[in-house]
Amino acid sequence: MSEPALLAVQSLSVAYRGQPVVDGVTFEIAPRRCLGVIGESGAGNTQVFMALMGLLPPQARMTGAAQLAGAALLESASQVRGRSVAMIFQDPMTSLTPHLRVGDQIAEPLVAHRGMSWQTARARAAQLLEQVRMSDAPRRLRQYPHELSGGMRQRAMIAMALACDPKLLIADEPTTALDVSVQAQLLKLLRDLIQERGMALALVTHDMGVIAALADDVLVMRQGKVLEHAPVQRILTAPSHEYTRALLAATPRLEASGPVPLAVPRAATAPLTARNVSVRHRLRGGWLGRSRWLAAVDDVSFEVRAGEALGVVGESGCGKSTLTRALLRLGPASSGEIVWLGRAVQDLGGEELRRLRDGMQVVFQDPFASLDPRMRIADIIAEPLRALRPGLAAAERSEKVLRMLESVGLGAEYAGRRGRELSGGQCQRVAIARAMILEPKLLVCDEAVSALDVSIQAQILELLDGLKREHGTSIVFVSHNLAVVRRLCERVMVMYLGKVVEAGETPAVFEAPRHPYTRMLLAAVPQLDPARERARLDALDVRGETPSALDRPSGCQFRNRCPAAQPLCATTSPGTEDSGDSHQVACLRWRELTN
Amino acid sequence: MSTRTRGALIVLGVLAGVALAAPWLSPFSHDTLDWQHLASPPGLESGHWLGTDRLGRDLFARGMQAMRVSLLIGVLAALVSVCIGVAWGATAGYVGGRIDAAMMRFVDIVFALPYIFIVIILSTLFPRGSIAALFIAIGAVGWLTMARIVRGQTLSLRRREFVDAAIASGVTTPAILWRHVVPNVAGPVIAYATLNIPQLILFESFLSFLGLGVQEPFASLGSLISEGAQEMESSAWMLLVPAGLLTVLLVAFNVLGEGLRATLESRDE
Repeated sequence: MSEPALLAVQSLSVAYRGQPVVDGVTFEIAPRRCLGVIGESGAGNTQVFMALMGLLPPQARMTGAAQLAGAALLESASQVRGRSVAMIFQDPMTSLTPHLRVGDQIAEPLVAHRGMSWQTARARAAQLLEQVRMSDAPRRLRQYPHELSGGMRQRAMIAMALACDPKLLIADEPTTALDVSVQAQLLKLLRDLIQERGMALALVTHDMGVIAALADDVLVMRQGKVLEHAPVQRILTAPSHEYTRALLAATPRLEASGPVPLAVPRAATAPLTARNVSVRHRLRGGWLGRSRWLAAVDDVSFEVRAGEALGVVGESGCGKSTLTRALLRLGPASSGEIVWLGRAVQDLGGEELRRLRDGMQVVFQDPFASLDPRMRIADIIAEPLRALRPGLAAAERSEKVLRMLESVGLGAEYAGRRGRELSGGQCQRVAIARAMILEPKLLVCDEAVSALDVSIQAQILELLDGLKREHGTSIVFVSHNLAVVRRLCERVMVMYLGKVVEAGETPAVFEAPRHPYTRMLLAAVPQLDPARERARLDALDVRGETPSALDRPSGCQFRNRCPAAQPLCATTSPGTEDSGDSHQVACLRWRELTN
Repeated sequence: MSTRTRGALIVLGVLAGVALAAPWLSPFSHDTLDWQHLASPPGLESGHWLGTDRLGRDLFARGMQAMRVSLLIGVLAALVSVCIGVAWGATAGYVGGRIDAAMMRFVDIVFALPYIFIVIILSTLFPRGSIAALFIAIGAVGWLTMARIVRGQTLSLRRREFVDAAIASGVTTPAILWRHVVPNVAGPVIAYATLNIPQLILFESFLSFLGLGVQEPFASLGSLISEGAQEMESSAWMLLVPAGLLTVLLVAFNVLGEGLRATLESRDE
């Protein structure tokens, strides 16, 4: 604390056409410290740092002052950018130039700012990749961004940012687009880097878990104003502002209790049963035309009971979205059987298939992409009615639409608007209203709340919970967010590379995980207690990332990331066993590992 | 909408208005012969504001009648190409697979044929000088590019989640094409159609210049230019009047199309 501040900002304001987006923000960051700046969409936390980097569009009006190591920053932002201050962004794919090799992109600022030759700059790039713990660094230098996974791209971005030894690193939602296991690895990396290099870190995020892991001090922002500025411990345990408390309350937690599994199934038979479902894609290789089969979903069986939510979790590439597409018949199932209300879904075609849609509806991840930009909200919600209840009179239809709008918390005044005039949360409610208007018995949610701010996320989860309890709707809830699954789902299914590795009642699976992968996922979820969170990062043993489905390990697919792998695991592929405590597990060593 | 686009719209409006009102504005009809003023230069006292041709026919009346023909053919042929192109491209792009491949190979084959010959052959099938035959012939080759544009747009729309959402809502394939695909390709289609009109007008003028298009006593800008070109050393106005009208028309349509394209693209952002 005794060190003088590296960055000092005094009453910084940014306005567009007289509308303030940042309003009188003041703070300091000392070297080796991390300032977390938390806020939901529209909070202005990103704008603060865009202003400091000199990256605001020309129509922005900026007032206030900022000093970096004693020198005025706002007036010289473009000279400082990339040298003393570096920034990493949320999406590592769009921040890297697709046609340049990774090594050359890291070397470029060294040549530009430091006047190094390309040869020394490339050697330095290799060192930097080692420093960001990139596996197989020399090879990565010669690869293009699309050949790297999301986590590796973000590491490459960090290496680029570190190239000129910045004193201040600004990270804008650095882990939001990544899987939890990769997120945990990157958080650990960022924490180590600020200590090793004596940098200051400004962390812009909407995620309380990330704050708990890294921040020393926290700035809570809403609508451009700082509501609260305090050490992280105080923010997370005894926040003084009402908004901070609301934000914390809305953040789903793993340790919180979720719904109690249904003791007795409400119906004797489950409305949805999947038996040995596989989805294989044919890949044409080389010019010799040898084609290979890629199993995106491999021999998956499950059932969903009435009034119950089944969570499907796993990292990106585990086949969870492909599975939902097969369930909905939006994509093909190669083999196996999906039975919906006593009828085999995969054999239906044409008109019969269309009728089937009456009972099963879907909510997608991206709330903007799933609404036709040219249609009015009322028409979007009325669409399933037009398609499947052609006998309904127009007046009755519009009355139903208005009632539906009300029940998702949007007033009748939204009926005439279009998707682009609404916020992400409002769009997602429209998508849910469209899915609910036929009163389906099954609702499939593919990452339906992932793109939303926590307070809106909480409202949507409340809505889904109500549907389940009051209408007996079954829900298949695909998510990478384990805490959300804990909050909503009675049962959960963990997928890895297309296979189910563990499944069972949510409390049993989350409290006593049997499969090493489930344990790894659960250990990677950030917790809202700074002390425990930091201890967790120290003890973290998360290895690697999901391999490509094209080169899976032999035997048990998880063995190359598994801390408990043995020679046997390379030769024998585990079958699914009942572990007794109301769940199933696919691991050769689960019995030994439990004790 | 920019000032330039608005300017182009006004110019087109005035041209179309004058062309339609010409029979009431001028005492002469496109086929009246004025024996007192054979090949007379433009002037106010004779009443022939833009002069007359070798047979003493008023160039203003003939020019405006030719403009009506050009506008009619341009707009109708563009409409024909929009209808065929959108239906063809949207179906091919949405249905995909073998049907898509077959439909698009057909487009490739027609594209590969020398299309002037097709138009010439088509125009000989109909009675000479039939305007209906002309615009069907021109529209029939104009839809090829439109079909390709619409197919490309449809392919990217097909992967958007709102189309999946519509399928999952039980909407039938024709309804998805009509309610989701067509409205969302409307932007590029309108822009391309507007840019297509001047090309079609030019094409019609070219055919008439060759003597394959509009026949006497009716005139088209192309046939007027053809006649004027024969007299251009002695009576330059016979060439300059129709050529000037054609240029203004084409520039106005091009500016309008470019402006619409920019506006519709920025609206899609």
